[in-house]
Amino acid sequence: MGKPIQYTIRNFVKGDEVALSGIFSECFGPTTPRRLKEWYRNYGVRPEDVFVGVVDGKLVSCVELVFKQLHHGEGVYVKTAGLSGVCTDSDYRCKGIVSSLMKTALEKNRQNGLSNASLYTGLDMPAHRIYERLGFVDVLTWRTYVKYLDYPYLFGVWLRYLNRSLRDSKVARRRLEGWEKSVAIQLKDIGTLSFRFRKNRFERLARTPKKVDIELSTDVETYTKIRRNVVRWEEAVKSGKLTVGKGDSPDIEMLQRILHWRWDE
Amino acid sequence: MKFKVRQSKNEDKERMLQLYNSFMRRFVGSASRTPRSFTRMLRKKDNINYVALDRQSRMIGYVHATLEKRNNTGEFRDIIVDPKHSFEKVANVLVKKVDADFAKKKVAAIVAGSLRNPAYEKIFPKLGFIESESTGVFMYAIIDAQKLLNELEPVFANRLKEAEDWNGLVQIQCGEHSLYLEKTAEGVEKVVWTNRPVDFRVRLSETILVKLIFGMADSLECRKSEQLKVETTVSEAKAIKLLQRLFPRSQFLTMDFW
Repeated sequence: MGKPIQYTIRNFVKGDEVALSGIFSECFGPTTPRRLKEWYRNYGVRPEDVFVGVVDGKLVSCVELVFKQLHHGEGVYVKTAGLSGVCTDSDYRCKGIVSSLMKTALEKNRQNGLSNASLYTGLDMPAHRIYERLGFVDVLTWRTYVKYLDYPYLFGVWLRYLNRSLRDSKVARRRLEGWEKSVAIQLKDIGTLSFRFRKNRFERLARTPKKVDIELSTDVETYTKIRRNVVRWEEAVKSGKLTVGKGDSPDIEMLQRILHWRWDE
Repeated sequence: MKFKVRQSKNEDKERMLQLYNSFMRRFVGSASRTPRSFTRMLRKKDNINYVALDRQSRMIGYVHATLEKRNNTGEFRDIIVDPKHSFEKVANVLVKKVDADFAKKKVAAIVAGSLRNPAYEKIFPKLGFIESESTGVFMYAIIDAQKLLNELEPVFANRLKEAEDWNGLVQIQCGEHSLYLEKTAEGVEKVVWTNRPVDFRVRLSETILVKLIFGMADSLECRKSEQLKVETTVSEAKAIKLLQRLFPRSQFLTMDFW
């Protein structure tokens, strides 16, 4: 827990979507105030269902409630308060703001007669520990099936996404400052895809340069699992599914951060 | 069994909702739907929706898939089949149809997410899909145990009704909160409070209650590991039956994310 700071909790008011979309972009990937408002409209989220944390007049944290009816068997549905959009500006993390927001949201739900709350998160997210402390229990992880038809195209999409995410992420920008490297990823049955990071931008390379800083070779399944953090890098190397041809240890660590887009300690 | 497949129409939405409800009845954790959600689903031009019809042109299943234009990715959202028919057979045909449509649209990837619908394992790998676990997790918290027990009363009452060869007073105690159910030959009735001796008492924590209601734990295993305690006047064999009746191993399945 960092140094305590003074903050207030209030509900969403018109105009908050601008600051909120900035924090959302940093935490969940690029979004805009318009998309945020659309999302609220589609899911019936009212201003009183959105709790925001404010420090010195600046909006820094958020928790939203989306109400659903969940089936509990025998055709019986029970209303649940779905918590979503739980996020904090990277400069204000580890100060207990989001925990207070969650506690406030849960208490408000209890007062409004709700018996339970639910949410989706990642087992590898720091927020998972906060949820456990607040009494949330892991119910189930999910499984995905994916078929790639044009992986090089998706690789380009991913790099564009990284650039947009980088624009919104102060932590990522700080970490990547001064790191200028090229990476070649050889994917079995697909070919070699390469990129470099230079001048604060990820850039796809049409041809793999003769000299690259990081070189790895794997299959698309292992690569997908590494990116999803389901298979650990070290495990993949140990099992022979991932071969690192070239790359210093700090560069490999940075590449892993890029692949997972995780920048907090 | 032979059936045909066609694109869904606006007038299909009522039957699609019925199918969704009957399919999801077998699972826990799924979110309720309204005709409005189906209107939205059918309205969007880029969505791919097919229905499967039997020989009498009755709808026996449907598939709903969306196209994420920004990433040029196709995504399976709902695969629903009437429980009276084989999920694998009907879903397989519907999935192949959508798969072919996505290929025609030249999408870069096709994704099918599932909170462990076991039938997916038999369908997608055959079509060249890679299976991957995810670190994504669904979490649940009880914020008012008494209220939740009261809300779950119809679930437990229905399950008790099926215990035809037993009558008595049941208490489900979660922390300091309790649900009392009186089972008689006439039916099952909720008792607000009583100091009468209880015939079958289950004591458990909130965590174990969550795990049991979503089918993530086995009641007998929980009893063995003393995470759940049973105090009863009935025989051991009867106690096991009653415990399994109250907390059957349900399958969690949801298709709604927020």
